[in-house]
Amino acid sequence: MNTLRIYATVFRVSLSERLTYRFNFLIGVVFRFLPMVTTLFLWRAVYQTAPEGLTAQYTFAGIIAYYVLVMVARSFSAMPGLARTVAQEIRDGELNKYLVRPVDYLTYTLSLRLAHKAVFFLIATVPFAFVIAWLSRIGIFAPWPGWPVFAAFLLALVLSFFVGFLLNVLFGLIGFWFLEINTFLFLYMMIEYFVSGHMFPIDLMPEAMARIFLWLPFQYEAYFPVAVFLKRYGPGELAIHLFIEMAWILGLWLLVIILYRRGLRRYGAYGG
Amino acid sequence: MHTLARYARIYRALVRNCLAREMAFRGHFLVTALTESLWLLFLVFFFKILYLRTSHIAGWNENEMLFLLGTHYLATQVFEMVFFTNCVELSDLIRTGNLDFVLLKPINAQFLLSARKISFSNVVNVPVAAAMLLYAGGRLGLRPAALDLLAYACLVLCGVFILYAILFALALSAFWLIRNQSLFELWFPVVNFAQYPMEIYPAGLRLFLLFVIPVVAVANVPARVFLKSLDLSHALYGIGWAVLALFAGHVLFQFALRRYRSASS
Repeated sequence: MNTLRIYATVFRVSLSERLTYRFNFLIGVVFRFLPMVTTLFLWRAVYQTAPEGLTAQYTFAGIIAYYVLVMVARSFSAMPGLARTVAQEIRDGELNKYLVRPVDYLTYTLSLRLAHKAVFFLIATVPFAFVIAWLSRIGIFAPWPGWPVFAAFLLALVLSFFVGFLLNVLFGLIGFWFLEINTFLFLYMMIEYFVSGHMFPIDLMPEAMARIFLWLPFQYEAYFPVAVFLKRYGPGELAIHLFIEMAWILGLWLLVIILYRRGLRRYGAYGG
Repeated sequence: MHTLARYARIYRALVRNCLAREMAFRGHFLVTALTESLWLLFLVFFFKILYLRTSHIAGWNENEMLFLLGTHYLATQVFEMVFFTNCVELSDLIRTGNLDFVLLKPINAQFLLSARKISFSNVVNVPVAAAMLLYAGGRLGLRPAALDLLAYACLVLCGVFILYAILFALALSAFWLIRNQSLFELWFPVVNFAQYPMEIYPAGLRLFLLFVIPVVAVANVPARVFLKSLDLSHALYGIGWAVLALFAGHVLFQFALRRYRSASS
């Protein structure tokens, strides 16, 4: 019970810290919106000359829905700066701070990230809801999925948070073995952008490639929740996919714990 | 002439210094270069997927689009090599008061601020851009005359200067805002708008990108000159904007310096 109170406090402190810079934050959210807008203009031009060619998988409305929903999914699964922070705390010896206290570093980081997400949704839910309500009025999301599918979509979103969190911590822990991993993390983020279906839908890729990407955990950060919403899966298939996702989370979690313990054995505690 | 030779000598020293620094971190150098080229590869792949389903996008066929992307890549890589780091660091210098050390030196402050760091990891990407341009140009059957090549090079350079003027102005906002990190986030959308054909944007936005924040001059104008024919009005547009942007940047810098408080030094 006491442990829970510690992390609840971490959550609360981080919450108010984040709320202090809400304006800067809001500007950041708006600007991050813009590249998606240019992508949609590009797709509009594609559909103007090839109205038939693409419709097998996506109508233009379907494409808009895809990108907007990817944005929703990424707001759950994206962890800006997490991997970098973990690596930096290892390199600078900041980790000592946690080791000498009765807290678990990984749980501590998880509470921080939960707080970040809570603030994000506190600020972003209303604008998001407006955009989505407006888009569904002009028929972008038609037909809206039934309640069971929608519930599965929400579940996939929550799970995507954990997939994103674990993947980022995992790459951050590489900092135990290498000094400078920022450039490497940048490379990882870019590959993730492509492989997760953030850049464009995985089911538009050549089949062999799509099959590989659908085997990787990255798709759960962007493509999968959206595909659930767009009713790409039958009920049985959906259950299997959610099960696989949970297995990934379990596997990644174990991997993170093992790497963290092994890393601690090499940890030099420089600086700090 | 004497001044020009002096500045050339100083720039050579800066280049040598930066090269030595970069070679100390070879791994970083290679990964950075690889990352940028990989991004281009993803983009090319994305367009391949699109062109499987249509022969033209906004009037551009696949090879023309590759040529446009190559041009954009060339301009942005040259820009990042010469100016990018300098503009980003300028804001830090203003905030920390370290700008003093630049202002005290017997040299033009804007020159030193804009040119002191050269990012060599982007140099590797210039041949990548050139290869892509040759590939797309070859498939388009381009047989450029010397004059076309000259006009193209000149317009790409104008594009680089326009990008510089925009980012320089964003960096100068630190004189007023002190902390302007979120303004830098505006930079990536700007570059993003520049890489696609301007025909995909609605009329109002297109006018904005032509005459308010002239990012279409970066890749669209040089590529067009090459793909269609050397049109004097396009050339004048690109050069005119570059001159105007550089001049505005210079004036803004002089004006902004008056706000400098030399904080904490």
